Amino acid sequence: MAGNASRAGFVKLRVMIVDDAAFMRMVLRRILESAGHEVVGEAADGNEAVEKYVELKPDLVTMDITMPNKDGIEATRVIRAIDPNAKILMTSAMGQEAMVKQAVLSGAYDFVVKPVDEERFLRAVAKVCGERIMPSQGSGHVVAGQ
Amino acid sequence: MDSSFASEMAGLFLEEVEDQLHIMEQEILRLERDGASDETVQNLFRAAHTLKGSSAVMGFDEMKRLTHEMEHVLDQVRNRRLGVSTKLVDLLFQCLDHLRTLKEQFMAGSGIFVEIGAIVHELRNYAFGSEDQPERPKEAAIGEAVLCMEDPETWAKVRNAQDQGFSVYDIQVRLVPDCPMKSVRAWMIGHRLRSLGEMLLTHPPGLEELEDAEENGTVFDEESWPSELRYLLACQTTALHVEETLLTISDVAGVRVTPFPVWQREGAPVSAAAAPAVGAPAGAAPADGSAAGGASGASAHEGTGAANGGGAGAVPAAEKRKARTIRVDVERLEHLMNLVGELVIDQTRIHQVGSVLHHLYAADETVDELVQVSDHLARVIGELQESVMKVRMLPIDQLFSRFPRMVRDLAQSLNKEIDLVIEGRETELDRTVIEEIGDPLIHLIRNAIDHGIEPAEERKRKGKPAKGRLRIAAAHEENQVVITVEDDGAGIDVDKIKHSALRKGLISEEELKKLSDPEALRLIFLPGFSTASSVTDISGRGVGMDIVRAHIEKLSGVIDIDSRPGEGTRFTIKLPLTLAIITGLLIRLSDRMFVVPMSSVMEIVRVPPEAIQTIKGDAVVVIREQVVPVVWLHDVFRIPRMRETKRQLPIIVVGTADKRMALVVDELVGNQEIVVKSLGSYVGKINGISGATILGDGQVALILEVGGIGRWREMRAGRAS
Repeated sequence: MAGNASRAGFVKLRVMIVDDAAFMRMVLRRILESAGHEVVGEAADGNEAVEKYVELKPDLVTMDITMPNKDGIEATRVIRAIDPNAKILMTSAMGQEAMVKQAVLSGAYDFVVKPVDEERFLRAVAKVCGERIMPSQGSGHVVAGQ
Repeated sequence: MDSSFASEMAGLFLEEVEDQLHIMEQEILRLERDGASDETVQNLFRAAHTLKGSSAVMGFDEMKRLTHEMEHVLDQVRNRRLGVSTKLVDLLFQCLDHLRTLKEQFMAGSGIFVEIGAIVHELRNYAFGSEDQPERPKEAAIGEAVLCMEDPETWAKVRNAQDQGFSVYDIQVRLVPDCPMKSVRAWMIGHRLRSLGEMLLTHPPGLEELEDAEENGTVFDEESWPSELRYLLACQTTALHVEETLLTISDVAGVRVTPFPVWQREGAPVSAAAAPAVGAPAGAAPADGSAAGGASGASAHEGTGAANGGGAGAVPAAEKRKARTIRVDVERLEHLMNLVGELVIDQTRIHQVGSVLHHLYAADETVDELVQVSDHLARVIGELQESVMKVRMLPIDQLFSRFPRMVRDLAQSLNKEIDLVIEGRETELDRTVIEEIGDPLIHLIRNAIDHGIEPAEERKRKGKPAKGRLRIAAAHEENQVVITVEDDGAGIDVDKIKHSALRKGLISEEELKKLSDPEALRLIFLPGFSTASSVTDISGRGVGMDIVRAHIEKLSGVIDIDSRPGEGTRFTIKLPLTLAIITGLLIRLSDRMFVVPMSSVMEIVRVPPEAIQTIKGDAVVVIREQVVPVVWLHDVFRIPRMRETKRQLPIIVVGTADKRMALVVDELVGNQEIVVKSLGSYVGKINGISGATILGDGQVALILEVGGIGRWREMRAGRAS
């Protein structure tokens, strides 16, 4: 896993965006990139997400819930089975409470509710990887890469 | 219980709480100043007792619990088993403060914790003191455990975990004020904590069960979720680690982890270093109930303070909720609606002036600007109007909820079995319409039960299920509300109706022959008509369907009937969503403008003048193979008819209830939202006119009442024959 501390306390993340709506992917990409993160890949369904995860090993996956072929819950389960340390942030629509819970039980780390509020989304992203930037946690601020 | 009743009750409750708290304050002050007198103690007791009763009714457990304890102590004072001391006065004042906070919490719709565990404990201590009961160590801890620590089961769990070398943490989590999906967030926090250790207790309660609830598909009411959550966790990690774990969850604004004090076997508290509360006198011996109680009381206050002060986010959230429901006098709403109406009128005028100016000075930019501003204003006013209308809307359940009981009673008294089906309870309509539609609906329901649905034996004979079915439904259809009352009873016998109408002289034999079956059915709406062969208790008290029709027409509504012998009867009522602003069809007669409510307009046609024929002195026109009587509106208002030089006459076919009419006008001007204004009491009721409005150019246009015009036609026809 790679993270470059370019600013104090800021960790540049390699993020993969999973969402079946191209527009949503674009919105999330814009938000992430404007905050200095790198979007390493996009997937439009769960199958693609699993494939690309294995290929790209991103630091963080944003995962839509309802998608064709394989939904976000199932994809989360599979990815976590492959990589128990995978960090997955669910992007859920209002009214998907039950599914969000299932996703968390499947191993998702956190969730944000769509429509995505930029500031809140970025805070959630920062928090997902917060274990590595929390000074008191572990040895270093940034976990060294491969 | 419908919502208005609930809010009314809440209002009464709050008033009562305020009164009783006032009495309490006065009496405690007197107690302090003059010492104990029977009367003072009695008054205090009564106030506590009253509050206990009403808070129990409101399901307000904390207040009930606290007042119950107060009552208990005061009862002992009353019976001279307890003396009055400064300590008691202090305690009572504290109770008063707590009750005030509880009341505020109630008003705010919860969200802030009011910790009554401590004060309840102190009251008990005080009462115990009198009974010379030794202080039990576990009781002394209650004050510290702001959660429901009286629950012996939880206490046992805490002790058990501590005995096994676990740390027990009291964890407060504050969510960001606008946190979405609070229930899921709360559950997720619980889920994360459970990965650290064992959850002993959560607040709101039941968070630990959400996993199961989710499987059952339980939906949680997001609105009612507090922004402050509380967990009691037994684990083997440090408080810092717990805190950090929680801080990595999004939408978490703040976390406070307090270690629970460890109790030694002998029962003396060994305060954990970080426990702020039990840092009180180390010699707080278990036997010294008041001291330990005092310390824990202070801690609870501190806890509240921290929750309030530290929770800068939580307090505005609570205030927001308070603002969410306010009770407003209906008159203020009416006034507001009136003002919006004025705005609509003025806007229409500005718009008109704007377009005139635009024509005159096409090149002038200032005029362009005026037009733009006017357009924007129109949109804003449109939204304003819609919002105000929405405020006036109530779910029809207000009315429908009265029916089950009524139907049950009626069915029982008539010895019939009836299955009541109510649909569309949530359909919203203007409160004035809801108020007005009640009586006609009740009449229709009574009719259906009394005359429509047959007794069980008769139904069985006919091969129908023994239980009759009565369906009352409401739904939105375009800009109208449609209410249906439908039964699967005997239906209406058209021939019987015809005979009855003939016998009563409501209609001539020739006229009768011309009537189609649906038209004949509508005869029941005529004044003086009643199909019931005998007058029963329930319907047929001389109030007939004509009254129902008149009521509905007054609301600019339409009632229609559909019935099949042996299968049942259905009444369909169509009502406008609101009476204050309607869509009107602007028409011109000579140089005067009039408005026909669109709700009455069935269709608009143009016919050549020669298409209007005269049958026995009555003008009629054939539209789609139906003979429709023709009325020149000019005649109604004594305006000279235009010379019929036009090749096509504009005709508006209107219908209310049972009648269709073709109104001849000079010109159709167009559709417009119009604000209905009454003519004022000095003009009074005028047949055929329901009100007036002001048009864009400042002209006053009268709003036609189609039912009245129909009556005018009948009167004239009657005079002619």
